[in-house]
Amino acid sequence: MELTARGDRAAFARLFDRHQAAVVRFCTRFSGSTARAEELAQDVFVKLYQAAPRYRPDAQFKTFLFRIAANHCLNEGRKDARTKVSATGDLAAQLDGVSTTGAPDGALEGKELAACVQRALEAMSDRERTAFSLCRFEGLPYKEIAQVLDASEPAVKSLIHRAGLTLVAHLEAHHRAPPALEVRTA
Amino acid sequence: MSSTDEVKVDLEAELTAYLDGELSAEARARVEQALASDASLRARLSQLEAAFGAVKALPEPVVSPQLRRAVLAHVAEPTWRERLAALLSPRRLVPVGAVAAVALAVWVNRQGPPASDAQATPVVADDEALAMATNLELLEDMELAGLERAEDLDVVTQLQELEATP
Repeated sequence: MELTARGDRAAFARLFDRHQAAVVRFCTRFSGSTARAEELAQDVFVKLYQAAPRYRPDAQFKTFLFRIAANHCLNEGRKDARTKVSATGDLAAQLDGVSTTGAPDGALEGKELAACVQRALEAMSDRERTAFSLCRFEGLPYKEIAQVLDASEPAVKSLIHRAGLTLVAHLEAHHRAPPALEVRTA
Repeated sequence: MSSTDEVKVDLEAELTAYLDGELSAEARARVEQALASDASLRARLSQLEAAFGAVKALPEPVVSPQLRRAVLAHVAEPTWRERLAALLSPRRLVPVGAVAAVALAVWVNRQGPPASDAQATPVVADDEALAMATNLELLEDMELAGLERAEDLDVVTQLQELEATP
């Protein structure tokens, strides 16, 4: 990061390679769209490059990176809300629409389950989804999530718990729903 | 809501943090004690545990090679600071300054003696120069902060707060 701050673009490329998967994953979970996630991730890395001179080595890099990512996604989410564009995307529909012809029952259940989890993520508030994603997918402790979101630890605890309850409600509805009817043609 | 119900709601709100290992030893003991005697709390814990396991069903996103190309191409563009430095380099400034000095000398020679209200013109010129300098200073500040848009200033402020956090 220090080399990046001095304008070393090769060092930045290495930084990108090391963290691209996490940033794209976070942006995908946040936006629910692979195409939108790619746009968001690109902006996040450009902002990281621009912010590099301000980075101090004693600060946790992951917190710094996700702070940029979360701020950017939350700001873009607010803009999308103002312009009446859905903050979340089409991933659940894509997961639902994946062809499962000839797939074993387990694979079918896995895809339905994934679509259900994705819909639950979309039902969360932007801050709940951010805190939940940082906790469940990126493994950040509550203290670091609090720093990323500029919130207190009890607030983060509450955000993650509420997000968990949303997920529980969606999974319960998913399990209660009758299985899709199979139409056979003669 | 009775006080017993309130205690139960409080404990239920602790369950996620309990699963995440985020509770203090004291709070953890309190939750475990409640779990031992309350079947509905145990059922809620199982639901949350199953839900957190279900998130693994989501496929891992695939990163396209275009993203790398786009990001690296973007940072390869010269920044404001680099553009400004190139613009103000002595190699450019010296010939421009020399030409300007000659042009000024020629212009002064062609003018007659200064008019009585000539004092007003430099004041206006000074104002314009001051405005220009202020704008350049703002751009320089934004560049030093690594910003392209003024809206990003609040992000920078938040980053400063984060960095200040011990």
